Amino acid sequence: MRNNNEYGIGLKPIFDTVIFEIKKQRKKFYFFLGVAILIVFLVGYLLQLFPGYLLPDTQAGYFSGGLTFIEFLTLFSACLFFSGIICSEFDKKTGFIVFPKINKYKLILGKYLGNLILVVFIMAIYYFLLGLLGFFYYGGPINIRIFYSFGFAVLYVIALSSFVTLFSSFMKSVNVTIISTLLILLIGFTIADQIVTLIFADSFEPLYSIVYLGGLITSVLQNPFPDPRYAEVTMGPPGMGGGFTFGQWITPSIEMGIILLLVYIVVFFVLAAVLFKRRQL
Amino acid sequence: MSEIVIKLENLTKRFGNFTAVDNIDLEVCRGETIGLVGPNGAGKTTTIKMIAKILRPNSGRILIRTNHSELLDLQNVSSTISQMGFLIDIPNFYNMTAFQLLKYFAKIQKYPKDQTEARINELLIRFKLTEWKHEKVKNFSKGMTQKLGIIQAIIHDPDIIILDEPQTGLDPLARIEIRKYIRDLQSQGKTIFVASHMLYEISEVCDKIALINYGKIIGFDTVENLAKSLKINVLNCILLKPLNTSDIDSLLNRLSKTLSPYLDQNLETRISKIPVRYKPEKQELKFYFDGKSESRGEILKILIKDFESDFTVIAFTQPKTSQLEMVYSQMVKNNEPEGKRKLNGDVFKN
Amino acid sequence: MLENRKNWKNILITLLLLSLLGISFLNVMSLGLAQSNNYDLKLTKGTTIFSVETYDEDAWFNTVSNSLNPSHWFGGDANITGAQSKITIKGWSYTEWGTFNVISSIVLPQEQLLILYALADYGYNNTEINEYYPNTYWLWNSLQAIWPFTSNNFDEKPNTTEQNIILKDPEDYRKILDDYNKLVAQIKNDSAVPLPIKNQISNITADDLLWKLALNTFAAAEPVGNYLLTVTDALETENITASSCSLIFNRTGLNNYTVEFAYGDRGTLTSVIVKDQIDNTIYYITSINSEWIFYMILAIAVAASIGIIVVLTLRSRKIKRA
Repeated sequence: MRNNNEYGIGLKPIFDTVIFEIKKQRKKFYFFLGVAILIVFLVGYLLQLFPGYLLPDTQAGYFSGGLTFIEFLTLFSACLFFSGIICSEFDKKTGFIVFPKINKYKLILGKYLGNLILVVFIMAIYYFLLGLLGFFYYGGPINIRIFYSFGFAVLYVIALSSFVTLFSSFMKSVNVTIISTLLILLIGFTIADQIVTLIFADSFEPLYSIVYLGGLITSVLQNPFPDPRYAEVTMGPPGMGGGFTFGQWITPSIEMGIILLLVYIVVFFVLAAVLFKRRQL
Repeated sequence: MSEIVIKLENLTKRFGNFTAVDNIDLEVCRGETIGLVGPNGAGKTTTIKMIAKILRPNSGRILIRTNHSELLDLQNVSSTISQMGFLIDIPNFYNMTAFQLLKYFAKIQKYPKDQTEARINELLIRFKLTEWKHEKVKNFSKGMTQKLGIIQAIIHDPDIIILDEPQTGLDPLARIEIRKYIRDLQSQGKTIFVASHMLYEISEVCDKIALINYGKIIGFDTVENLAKSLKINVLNCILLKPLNTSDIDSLLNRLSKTLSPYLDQNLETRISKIPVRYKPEKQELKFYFDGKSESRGEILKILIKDFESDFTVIAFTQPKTSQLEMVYSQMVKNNEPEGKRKLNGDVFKN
Repeated sequence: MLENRKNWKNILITLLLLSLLGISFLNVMSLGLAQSNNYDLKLTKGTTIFSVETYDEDAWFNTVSNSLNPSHWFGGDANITGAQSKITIKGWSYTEWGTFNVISSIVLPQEQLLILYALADYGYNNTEINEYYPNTYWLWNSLQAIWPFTSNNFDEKPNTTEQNIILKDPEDYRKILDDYNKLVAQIKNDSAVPLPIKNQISNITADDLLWKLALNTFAAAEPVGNYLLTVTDALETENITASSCSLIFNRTGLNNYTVEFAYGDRGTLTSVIVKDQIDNTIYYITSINSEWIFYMILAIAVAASIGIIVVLTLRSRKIKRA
């Protein structure tokens, strides 16, 4: 019989779970990595092969264009990687095998970190390739604001993952979690933001919306930072009753964005932990 | 007396208004093999899930002892107990290869890294899964998955092994293999707790049986003692040739009279009217005796000596299974709450 | 069954090889045609950084001019060794322009453009000039973001974004120069045009035109050497020669000197060397393109990825075999 120190709060099981989770999610990772590389290739390189499609004046402008799809990519990858973190153990009954072996919080933490590493790695590759192409087109040095943008992207992914993890903690099936979180994040928040802006105009900023906060990923690249952050856009021909003017919040302020993303992360994780604790197989 | 390693005290689990486990008390000593027997929905899996900390009991507590320490309340143990191995329900695995899964399970249960691969190989050979080592579990048959479920429960060489329906979905040969393996584990001094409704399997390997029905333990002892307590001790006597039909009644009466000092004279009529029965399809005589071991010898002597001209005995056994079946059915019936449902039909299959 | 499969495989391979051969043949044919009849633009989007490597101020003042320094030619801090400028080619379009547009874009100096617009009131607007001189010009109109020479770090945003015109047919430089000079003569003879305006426009020589173009990010189409040679031949320049991929200007200031503008494979400027009459370098601008660093990093990244994939594949095969 081995000498077991049963009750230690070891980090090794978390580390082992991280490694295992990374192996487990390999196929999903390859898929998203392929998609990320394809998007960078299409947006950052292939489009530029058309002489008439002008390169932006600055490297930051180029990065901004190249990052158009990063919010979608992070959103989809967050939903697909994190949706099964908790509910799959219950849905697929794998918890019967693993829960007795490892503290279930350590298991979930390990799974979470494993998935987070994969998603952040995919994004890092995206940024790396975009940065490399930015270097190719504009030379060095690389604009420092792309690193800030990456920082926001990581924070945004963590916020999205906390949101999805919360859903995963009470939803019954992985597929329902994926669909519901995608619907809320892709459509729900966008519609809510538009309605709120339509009603309250510039007097109420949609800071409740994670998607709106995610806008910082690209707006942080702008120099100077957008000010004012609320703008009115006119659509259609002006005059003679034509032309429709509507307000639009462009971006949250950097400080507010960071604070709120951190608050959401804490709140969602705490709620997820409470629900997970109460959930039984 | 060997030390108690698992103690269930007034353990109760309710799901809404339904009480799945009702005030159970049970003690498991080191090195024992205990069978938890009961019909579907009796509370076997719920009890095991509570021991595995998958379910929280509504009341009562589970005490465990590891490394000869004090008995500790499971709820106060912050981590999981790697000295226990569990197989709960039908196992569902992540879709990885058997090797990847077992390696991970060994790792998180702190099995020595340098011995992990050898241990995995040893178990895969024993369960005849070596060729499937690097195959994903989605390609496994139900039986193979079940075998892998047992392997994952013992991969880290635990002291206490808790198996819930380990033989479900396995073919007869695999069941024999598992029975053999459980005996191996017994010989290594492991404490084994098996929940099953396969009475034969349980009776073959367990030292003690805990009968559970409607969430309550209705009996907990060795098969023999349980049978004694219910006065249903049976001897089977297989004959070389079938008895002549016309002589059966008179022969049974003679047997009953001759063996009367050793037979159970207070046998309940619902079991049998007289303590000797003949089963023509099996060429078997069945004796309900008083349960004393010396009586068995006397009965055999008389059968060979006094009834030599009537039949030839080729086998003379006290079958545990049928004994257990009877104990089980009788105890379940005795403890059936009024107006409650009948037992499921699959309870006695083996 | 197996044989059928093999046959199909052979047919597919043959078809693939034939297609590849066909594509290659068409490619070679089209290249040949392009070289015999046409020039092609080989520009690529991207940034070139120019750096002042050498500036011998004394030699400059003794040879070129004692009142002008390199800044007057190249702008910014071009008179400081180590100063750098940056040009980003943003994109281009292939289009056909009339005389007015080409004159205003490549012939007239920036400061004289207002005069051209002032002439519109006297019968020389866009349409009228194009009617007088109906030649049309196929050209590439490339857009460039320009950071002038500076000894500090570059600003994030470029100073200007300018058009750079490359005429498809190098002989068209002759046509536009002739049209321009005819236009100048016509305006000078036109009594309706006020004298102050007439005084501000003058004929341009072929050497002046090419000098102006060279200083303003002139670029050549491919094949570069042929293009440059045809330009100089067509313009019948007196003191400019095309040699290999360079334009060499023989100029006279305080003393004779040469200015060599070298062009790379893609037709864009790669270096400028000013030499005195005894071949000493007075001034030298080189260019750096970060493309090779990009390809190097990309190659390393791809090699590393392939390496990882190969190692993982071999490992999994080894495990499976074991």
